[in-house]
Amino acid sequence: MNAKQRLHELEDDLLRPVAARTPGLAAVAGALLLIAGWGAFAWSVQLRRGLAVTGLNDFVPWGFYITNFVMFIGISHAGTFISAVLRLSGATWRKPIVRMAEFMTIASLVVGALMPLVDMGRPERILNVIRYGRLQSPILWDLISITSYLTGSLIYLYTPLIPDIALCRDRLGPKLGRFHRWLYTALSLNWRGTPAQQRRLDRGIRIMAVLIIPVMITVHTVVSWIFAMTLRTGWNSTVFGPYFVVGAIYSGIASVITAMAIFRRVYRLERHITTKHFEYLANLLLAAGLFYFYFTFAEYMTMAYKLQPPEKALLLELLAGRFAGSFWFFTIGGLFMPLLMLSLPWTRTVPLITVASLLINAGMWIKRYFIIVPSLSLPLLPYDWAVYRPTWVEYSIVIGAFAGFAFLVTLLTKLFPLISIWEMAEDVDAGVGATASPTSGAGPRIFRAARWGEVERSDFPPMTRGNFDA
Amino acid sequence: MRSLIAAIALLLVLAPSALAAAPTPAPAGGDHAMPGMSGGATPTAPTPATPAPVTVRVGRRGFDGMPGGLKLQVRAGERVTLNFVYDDADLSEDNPHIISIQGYNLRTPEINRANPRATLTFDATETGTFEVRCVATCEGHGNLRGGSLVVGGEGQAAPASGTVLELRAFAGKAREGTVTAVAALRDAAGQPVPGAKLRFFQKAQFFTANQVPVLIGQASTGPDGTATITFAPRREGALELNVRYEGSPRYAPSEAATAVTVAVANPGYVMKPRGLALPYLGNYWMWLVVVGVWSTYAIVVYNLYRIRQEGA
Repeated sequence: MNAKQRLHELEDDLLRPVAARTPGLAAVAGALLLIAGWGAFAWSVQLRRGLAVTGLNDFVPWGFYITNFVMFIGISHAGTFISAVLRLSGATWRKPIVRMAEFMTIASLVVGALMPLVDMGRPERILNVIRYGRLQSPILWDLISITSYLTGSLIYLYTPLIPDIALCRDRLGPKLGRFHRWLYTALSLNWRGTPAQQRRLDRGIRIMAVLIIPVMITVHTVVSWIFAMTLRTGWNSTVFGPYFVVGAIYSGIASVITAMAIFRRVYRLERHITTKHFEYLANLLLAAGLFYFYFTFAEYMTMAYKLQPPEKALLLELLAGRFAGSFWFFTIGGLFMPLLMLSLPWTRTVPLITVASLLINAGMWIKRYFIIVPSLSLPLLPYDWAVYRPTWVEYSIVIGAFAGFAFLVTLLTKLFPLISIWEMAEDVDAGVGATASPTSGAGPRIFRAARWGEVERSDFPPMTRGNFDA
Repeated sequence: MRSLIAAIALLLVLAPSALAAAPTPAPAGGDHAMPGMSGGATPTAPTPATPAPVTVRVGRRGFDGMPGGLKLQVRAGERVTLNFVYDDADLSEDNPHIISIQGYNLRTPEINRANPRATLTFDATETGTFEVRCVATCEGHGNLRGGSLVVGGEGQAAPASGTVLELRAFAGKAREGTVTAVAALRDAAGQPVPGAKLRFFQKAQFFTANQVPVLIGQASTGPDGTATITFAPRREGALELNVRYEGSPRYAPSEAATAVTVAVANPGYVMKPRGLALPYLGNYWMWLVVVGVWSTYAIVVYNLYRIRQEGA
């Protein structure tokens, strides 16, 4: 098979998820939308009746919603890490999974940013943060950093997507319908693949790849400072910044692995998302997990050594009290077991790596829960511990948020190519396999022109939906 | 002779009554001699009256299962016994309570499933209305507030002495923005009353339609019968101040008022930003970082705009 045929096959493969009818996936997306709708209904109940319908109270004002907020902001780090950091380090194996990770970043930021609004009870009061916010407040830093990160992630997702959108415009738009035609035409920015356009695109990608990394680190550091800049027992820690960032990368990579396993199966992309990708991500996950274990150990060891009375009370509740179940589930199920599974050769298979990633996601959600709630429940005056009992409203909104996130990711995979076609084509162009070595942009002009959607359209048969029906 | 015998007999009959009527001065140390005793007897403290103990159930639904309060009324000087009983045994989780009587500084130990009963026994020496409430963080905490113990009222014997309270207030010169209020409490004989707790109020509009007295401080009188507080009013102009003495078994309650004009008010606590501030830039250096990031975004977006232009 020559390079031209391989390119054709590559494009067919990677455009199929967008072009083909997938009734099964549509049904799943419909179900996710229903669940998200139920979450929205629960929120409407909360808006009408106030936060009294939740388990939040004077002593525990942050519970499920803020846990979800931290979780989703954490997941968003995976896209930036895989896309920007691995791009700058020249890891070409990242190419098939970059865009999926970026989709997850956008979806998780959108859902995550909603959570504080839900937690506020009166969401219009967010304007007060803008009108009356003080520069010394971590809340204001949070608002600024998340807004900046969301904007930067959108730009960073969109910029490398332009050539693929142009390809969709040329290959799929005429056949898919008016909406798709309009969408691809508008978003392709008249992309023709000219050298001038290419230079600008490369410049934009390079700038964003460098800029988005410190923004990413800042975001979760600032999220951690909402806790660490207080004097509360369990929160008053200098290590929270890097602790949260490492935790975000840990849970983010786990989420990407989970998504990879699902979409690889659903869209039959086994040729492009191979076992090697799972292994490489497993290595990164293992490294992040070990760092996270180190930070966790240092955090609790520091408290346990000094045993100040409030910290002693907190540790007892975590290790052997009301929160012991959550704590040990995270420690064993969310940390030790997955790390073991990721490090043993006979457990480093795709299914077990996926299981490990699911355990990590569950464990990290619970970890964020018992970072937040026990410290709030700890009495500041010599009273008894406060009680937080989440209600059906909170459960519904949290589950709805996860469903909404999954729906958004699915929607993005149906609108835009899940794998970056032009980046994968660089490898084909260079005469190597679809997933391998560093790109040089070399090769006959005809292929590069075809890659960018220029004139040699007649080399390939016209794309119709019939080519791709599952 | 007959008249002499009659006089002696009259003297013998009248003398004990005369001796019983003469008030016995209170010996030092606070012990009070009981009426009718002769001066040679050892004075002992009067035995307070002992009403029956009161049992109150304490649970998430409130005192005795009713939210919003408990009303107890006792006479001054009585020995009060309150038994509190745990009423949340039907809950799957323990819901401990600690009951406190404000003003008397009394507090039960924790009342919970393991220790379901607690008793407070005290002498109601201070008159007034005192709040009874739960001070533990518990389920139904709101229902265990607002209980009251009223000491005094009907049947209370009139205090021995009326009191006169005077109040003066003046704006501080040494510390601008402060007001000093001095209250003097004297008994009916003009003698200073030491150790009396006085409460000072300022009339203010505090989330109410009308001006209401807002507590601004309390102080106990010294040996000279005066008590002083210094406070920082938040507004300028004329302020109306009140001082109250709630009374005791020995002295009647009294009240006094005065007005003071404040020329310079204390604007209150204004936190000057500390930390994170750079010379000349203050905290605004953070905006430089944000502007830098968004400017870079703008450069990239401009490149996208040019891509569109060049493809048109």
